[in-house]
Amino acid sequence: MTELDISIVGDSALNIVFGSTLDPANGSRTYDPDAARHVRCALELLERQPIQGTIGATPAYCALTIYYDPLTIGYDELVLQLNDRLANLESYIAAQNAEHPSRTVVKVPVCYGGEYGRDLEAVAKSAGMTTDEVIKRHSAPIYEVGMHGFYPGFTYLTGLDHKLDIPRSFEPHDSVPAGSVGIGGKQTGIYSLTSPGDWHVIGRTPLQLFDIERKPALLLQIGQGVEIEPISAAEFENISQLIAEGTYELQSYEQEA
Amino acid sequence: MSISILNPGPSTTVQDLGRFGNTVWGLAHSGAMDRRAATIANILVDNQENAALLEYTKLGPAIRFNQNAVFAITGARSQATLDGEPVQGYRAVRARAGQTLSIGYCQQGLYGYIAFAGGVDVPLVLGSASTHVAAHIGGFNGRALAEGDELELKGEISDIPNLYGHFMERDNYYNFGTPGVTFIRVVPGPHEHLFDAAGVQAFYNKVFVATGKSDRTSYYLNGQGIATKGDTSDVLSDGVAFGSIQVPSRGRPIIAMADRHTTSGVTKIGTLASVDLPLLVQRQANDLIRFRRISVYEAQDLLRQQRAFMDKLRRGMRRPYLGEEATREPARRIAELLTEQPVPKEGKSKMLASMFRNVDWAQATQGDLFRH
Repeated sequence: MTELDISIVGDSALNIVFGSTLDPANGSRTYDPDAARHVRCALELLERQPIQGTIGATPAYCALTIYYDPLTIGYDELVLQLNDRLANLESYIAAQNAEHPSRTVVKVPVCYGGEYGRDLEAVAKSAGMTTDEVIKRHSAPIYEVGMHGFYPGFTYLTGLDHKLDIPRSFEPHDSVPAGSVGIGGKQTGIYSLTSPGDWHVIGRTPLQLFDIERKPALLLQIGQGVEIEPISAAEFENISQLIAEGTYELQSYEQEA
Repeated sequence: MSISILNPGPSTTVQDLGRFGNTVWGLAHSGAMDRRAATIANILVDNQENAALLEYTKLGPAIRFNQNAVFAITGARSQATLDGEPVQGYRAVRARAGQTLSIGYCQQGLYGYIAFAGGVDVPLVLGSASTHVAAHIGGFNGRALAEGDELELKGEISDIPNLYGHFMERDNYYNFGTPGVTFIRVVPGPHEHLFDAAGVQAFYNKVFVATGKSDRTSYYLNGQGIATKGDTSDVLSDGVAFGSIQVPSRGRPIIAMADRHTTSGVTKIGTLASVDLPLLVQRQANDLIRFRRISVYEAQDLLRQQRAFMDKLRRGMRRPYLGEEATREPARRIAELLTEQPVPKEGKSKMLASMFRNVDWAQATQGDLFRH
């Protein structure tokens, strides 16, 4: 394998950057779906055989951030060891693909618009379509869980219909309720906790994406598929009730990769 | 036995040096904002460096001791009192059951620490005592302390051997009370290549002003806008470190702090050198800052020097102190009076601050505050 593409993130972290396309016009990179698999598999390899001195990682779409203690391992030594550990990354990915030809797709019920999606109409206006068409386009793809970040459990989904690309809001919401589904730039995602946010909120799921008391704490795992099922406000209340009683059953199925 | 919070101040939390290994699912490291001051506080009371202590900001807490204890105050400077008597920072002090420690306002710096011999006793969450208030995780019930809270200390430690040897001479690390600009070192990357040359040059050559809008999530600076190539600051969200310098589209740096969002979609021009993080963290509104570029190797070397400094400090605690506290005390106070006359804030930064008076900060950065 060729040498890893590494960028420095201060004296205690670095990014391993995986295949992404550089836009020569403005220097920005666009998401390459294959990069996410590289990030995920590199993380697995590093978790399986940790390098002494590394203390954590943040997987993102096309970069894996590695945090380390420079008093235990210096920058050059870490870069050498990472290249060594990930030398077989390509063959590992191939083996993983052969071993797991299918992925789990989780059905996520979402109530669009109204009090649950206060920005739906603005999004429709900005995209030049009706709210129904926004809902149709947003719930059509099977998304992939790309990463978690921002706040604990915030779930970034990849695969957004590019007609729904809308720059992040310049008037951020002070408080976005947990479960809110938003669009921010080329990304869509689900808020895990009630928090401030600058994404356009178009709907909300009654599912609890993050619960530190639950095992696993995260409902949706990186690499899983997500199929959104539009629901009514009445169904939202109904599912919320079932979740509160502990009788709700999460719907999922296996899908060929 | 315990301590009682009589007045918590605006935000007093239990912290240690952080909770690692959970950024995979979006939980920041948290921990002390000023790791240097927190480490020193613990060393001063013979604790492990990672022991749980109290962090306060702007206005420190008032605490009643329900047991005997030994404590040390570090970080921001204030006029702390124990039952009305002045208490010095950067030294181990005995408190008896029934006494009240009142920290008061931070006159210089923003974050202060109180370490107690033995440490604050809170349950560890995912291996750490640190509080992440936004995520309701860790510390004392996942929140900032409130009036009436009772915190357990680990054991009742009334005294420590060689108590009078447990002090640190104040050094000029923080540049407190010194007029002019504070230089803060930065390791470039990961997105420096997305900025145009003039933008990078401006970043390292212009003066920035602390805004006073900062908290445990982000630190905001005011100053000249920094241009990116093609005028876009959107990148695909990627990992954020403590000290990541994010430059959003309107160009004023926002620096990621201990409770940062773990990922961000904003271009990051550089990352603060870890040894200089406390310098930034303690800058108050209108303080002036300039950035200086260093390599990752220099930054790591500085961290090794800091480690050696802490080890030396720890060894110093064990060295018997032969002087009498009574004769040393007045000398210390006089020395302080002679050398540490605070320079009035006005004269220090009035002129440069006025350059930015026309910028409506709240307006200018709206939309960049929570980009993720």
